[in-house]
Amino acid sequence: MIVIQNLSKHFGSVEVLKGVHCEIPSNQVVGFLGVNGAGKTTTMRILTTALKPSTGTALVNDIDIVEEPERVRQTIGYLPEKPPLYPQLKIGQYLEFLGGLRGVDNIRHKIGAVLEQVGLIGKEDWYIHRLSKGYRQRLGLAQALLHDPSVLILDEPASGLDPSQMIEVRSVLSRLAENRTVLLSTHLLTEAERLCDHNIVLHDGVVATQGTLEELGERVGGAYFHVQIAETDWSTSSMTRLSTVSIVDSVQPLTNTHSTVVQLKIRLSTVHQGELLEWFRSNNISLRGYGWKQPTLEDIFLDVVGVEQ
Amino acid sequence: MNAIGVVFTKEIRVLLASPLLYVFWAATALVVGVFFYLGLSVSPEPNLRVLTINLGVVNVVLLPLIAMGMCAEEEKQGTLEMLLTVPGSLWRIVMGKYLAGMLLGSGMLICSVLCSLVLAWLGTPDWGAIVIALCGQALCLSFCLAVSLFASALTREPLASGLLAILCLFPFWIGGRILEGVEASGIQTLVQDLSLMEHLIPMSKGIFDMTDLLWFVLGTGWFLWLTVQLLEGKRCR
Repeated sequence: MIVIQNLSKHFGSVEVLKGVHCEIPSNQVVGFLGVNGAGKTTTMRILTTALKPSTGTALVNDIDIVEEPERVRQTIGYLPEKPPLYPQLKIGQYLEFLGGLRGVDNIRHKIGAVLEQVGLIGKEDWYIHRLSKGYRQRLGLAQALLHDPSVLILDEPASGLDPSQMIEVRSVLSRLAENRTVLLSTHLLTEAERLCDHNIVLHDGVVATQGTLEELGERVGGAYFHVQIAETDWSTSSMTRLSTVSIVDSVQPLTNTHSTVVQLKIRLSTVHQGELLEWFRSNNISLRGYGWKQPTLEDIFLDVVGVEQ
Repeated sequence: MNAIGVVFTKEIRVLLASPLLYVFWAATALVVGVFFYLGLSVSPEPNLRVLTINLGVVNVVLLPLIAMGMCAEEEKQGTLEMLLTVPGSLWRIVMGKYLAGMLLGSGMLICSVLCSLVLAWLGTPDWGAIVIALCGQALCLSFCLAVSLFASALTREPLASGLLAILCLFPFWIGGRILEGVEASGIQTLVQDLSLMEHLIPMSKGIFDMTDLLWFVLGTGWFLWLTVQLLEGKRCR
């Protein structure tokens, strides 16, 4: 388990973290979400002891990162956004180097095991400079796993991967989380939704919200009523009139995926939508589709960070 | 293999893949050839005096080219952060890099040893003086490499670190010479004591003085220690 206590970090006059406080449960995949500059990478680098916090601290498996950084380094595996590789080396040479530096016992066996875990088995003699981005990402993951850490910190592990590579990385991460804590940052909210058991949304240097998808969904109002209307049937005045319907609490237009369709996110004061559908009928507005929807991580994220859709 | 050994092996592999190393070796071989010939022309006795002094220039000007990437390139590529977050003393990393640089830089010593064999073929050299001159070359290489490693840890730009190393080494090289002719004073003595050339010249002549040996050993140790402190600072910034 990782407990982050009131963590702050200044770079000169710039305050990147302003008191991050959260708990990261063990043996789960935890998503670290936020816009660029929210403080995700800084928090991760502090947890890996690459940076020192200005104030506050964090406990990684009850070990204080400020008091005992050496012990923390033994328990953490870290994959930065750009995998730290030496292009001049072969895969096997690179892992031998890191294993030797970390004092890993039975290094040959261990290298075989991690290469199998990340799907690079039999490629020890491949030069790193010839690897594709997906293979480099996997090798970065292999180096983070080499000393069998109980906590794995991954900064944008799916960055730049094609959909098939992303599926492979997802399955690798799911397997890895069976016996260790995996903290990963990502901008790919659909990936985070599929992969993460728990999510932490960081915004402007503080934790804006955290919890499971269900908990986060409840925090932003739970299920909402979603309608799709032909653009020709809809106008700004319709929106104003819809707001006056007694069971409607709020109406929010969603990003158009198709230019001829207007999508609305409507919060109702009741689960019975009859009165609403009746209003559409009486106003001659035909619906292309409607139904109740649970908020996705994207809905939650946009709600929390306050970005207009 | 221990941690110093694995860093050493990795550095050798990385440096051998760099074209700069081969440029350094070629330039060294050229300098050795030219100055060995000139040394034979100007000196009636078979020795390595001229060669040793001029290899010092190679150390000051060209050695930073192979050492400049040792830390700076790692920082630029993002691998330095990985090394800094590996548990254990940073001395292991610095020593591994230093020893690798010594091994690859000692190509010039091999050339000098070959020159010594040529001297033995041409005449009867003073082997004591030859060995002391070779030690002087090795010590000079060691000091210049430690300064270059330190400069490499100062910045994330390899080229800038190479130029910084040359800038750091230049005062050590010419320090004693620029105050020649100036009336003897405490400052002049201090500058001369700190000058690399003042300690290399006696060894190039085959004169062994413990002070010279200590100067090179302590100077090397001091810059390696500074490098470790710089990296330690990056670890906890």
